[in-house]
Amino acid sequence: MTVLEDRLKRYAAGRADGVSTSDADRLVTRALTRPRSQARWTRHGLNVAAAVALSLLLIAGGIVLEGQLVARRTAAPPPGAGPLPPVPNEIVNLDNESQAGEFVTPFRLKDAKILPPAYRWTLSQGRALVLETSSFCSTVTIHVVDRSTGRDVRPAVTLPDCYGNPVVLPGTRVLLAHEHATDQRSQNLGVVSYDWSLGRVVRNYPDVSMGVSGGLLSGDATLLYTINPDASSTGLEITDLTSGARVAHLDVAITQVGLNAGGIALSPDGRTLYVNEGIRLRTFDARTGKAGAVVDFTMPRPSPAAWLPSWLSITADAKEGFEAGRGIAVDPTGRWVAALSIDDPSVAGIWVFDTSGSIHVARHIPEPTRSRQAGFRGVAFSRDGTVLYALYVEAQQGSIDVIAPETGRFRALANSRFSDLLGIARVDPAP
Amino acid sequence: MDEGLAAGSSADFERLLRANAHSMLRFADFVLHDRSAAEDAVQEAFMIAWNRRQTLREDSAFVPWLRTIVLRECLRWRRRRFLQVLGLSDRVIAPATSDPALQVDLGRAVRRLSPAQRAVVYLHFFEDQTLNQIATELRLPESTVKSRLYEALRRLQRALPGYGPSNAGEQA
Repeated sequence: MTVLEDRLKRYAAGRADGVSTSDADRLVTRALTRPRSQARWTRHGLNVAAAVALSLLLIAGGIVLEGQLVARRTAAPPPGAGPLPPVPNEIVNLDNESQAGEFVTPFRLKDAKILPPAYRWTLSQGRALVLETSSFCSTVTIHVVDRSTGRDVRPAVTLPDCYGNPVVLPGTRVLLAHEHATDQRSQNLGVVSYDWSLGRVVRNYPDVSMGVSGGLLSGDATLLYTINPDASSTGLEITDLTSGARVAHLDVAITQVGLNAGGIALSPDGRTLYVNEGIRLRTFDARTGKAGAVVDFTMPRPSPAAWLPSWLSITADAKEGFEAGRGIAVDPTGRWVAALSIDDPSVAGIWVFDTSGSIHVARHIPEPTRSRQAGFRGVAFSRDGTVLYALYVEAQQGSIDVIAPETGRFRALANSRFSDLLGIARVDPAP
Repeated sequence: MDEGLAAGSSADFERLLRANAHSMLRFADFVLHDRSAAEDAVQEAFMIAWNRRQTLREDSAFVPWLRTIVLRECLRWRRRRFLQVLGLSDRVIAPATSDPALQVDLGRAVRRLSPAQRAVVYLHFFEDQTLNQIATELRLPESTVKSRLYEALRRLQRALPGYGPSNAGEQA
């Protein structure tokens, strides 16, 4: 053994002597009396808790990030996102300038087929209203016909002066705009309530002016919303049909209905009145006329509809037949509002608003071409509200675009006889 | 070790733990060269041993099994202490000896060894274990034990040139 090894042995022994048996025994006692595994498991528990907390934090961050991405995708779907919308088994009835005003052109979506003309103003009991006007509209003969046979079911009634723009009330009454017309001019005489079962006028509303766009009736048929073209500034009037009193006059910027964007519509619950001003959507309390939110036709960010086919672009011409109920539509659930713009290139197209939460622009669908003869001419929702119908007309053809409001995806149901169409009158279920 | 230990008898296990506690504390003290740290490490090792006593299946393996746990806790304590910004002072417990100056020099040199080297040195020179026994007890290859011991002695000789082989006879 070397000196070093000897010293080392003595050194170790000397150090070991400093460790008493009692010290060691005390350690055993402390180790065994200390809550066993507590400290260790406490440490491990803290580590595990920290790891779990960190993991949850990362997961939460991921969820938030994913949620934002999903929301962004939902708000602005990328090209081709989502399935193509279904084609409901419905008939879209179209206004056709080449046929008499009491008829509409039914278009069956399933086979994109145009059906024989149908009556525009349908009444209860399978009947329809037909207005036959004389030259210069000096008299009007009112027919009540059977919709299936076209035959009069009551004796026709001829009234002096001019009556038109029927608004069908529940029961046996219709509202008719009343004018005295000559070959030089026409004079507004208000609105009458005509009972077609009695064959006579039962009430007059002389202070109500109902323009060419007709009127819109509240769900309970107590209020009538009309656009008064004779007012000094074009206004929207709300009339209580029970008392005949004017509830409100709304100064809205609908210019000449029939030449520019316009249209009024009610939410399904009857509480909100939507007015399409062509460059913005205005809302009012439908009962009082109190003004609500105003949403401009602008996208908060680059249009999510930019991914639509390149032929979706802008037209620059006015469209005929742009009337109340044609330039705006509300889906039956009340979530979506679709409005046609005026023909300014900066806003041209369909604007879809989402009313869930605060109302906001959900989508802009530009017009397919810049042709002066082309453009959207009407909007309506399917009866279940799942899809939006838009009538698109070009010089030689047109289509009904079936659009999913949430994604913007659409199917174009084309027909070569669409060139004379003016708008969408109503949507009916297919037999 | 009796049959009860293998079956997980707490009383027998505690008895064995107390019987080896002194040896383990001295071992840890030498490895760490810090009494306070050694006590912490041994206490932690005893707790671990207690919690894992059910895993011990061979009666004869108790001491190597415990030694391994103690050494592992000593090394863990060293790592923990390394991570501490303000660690405990590395107190030197001067062993009782007739030549204090010599022991201090030797103590300083030993403290420069790694804990793993000190463990081998302790088992070999204080407990008189052979390299094979140390390898068995620490569950290391014998060649590893041999190299650690060789390296430890070489470093000590370099630090303490006066402890050459020529003085062996005198010191012995």
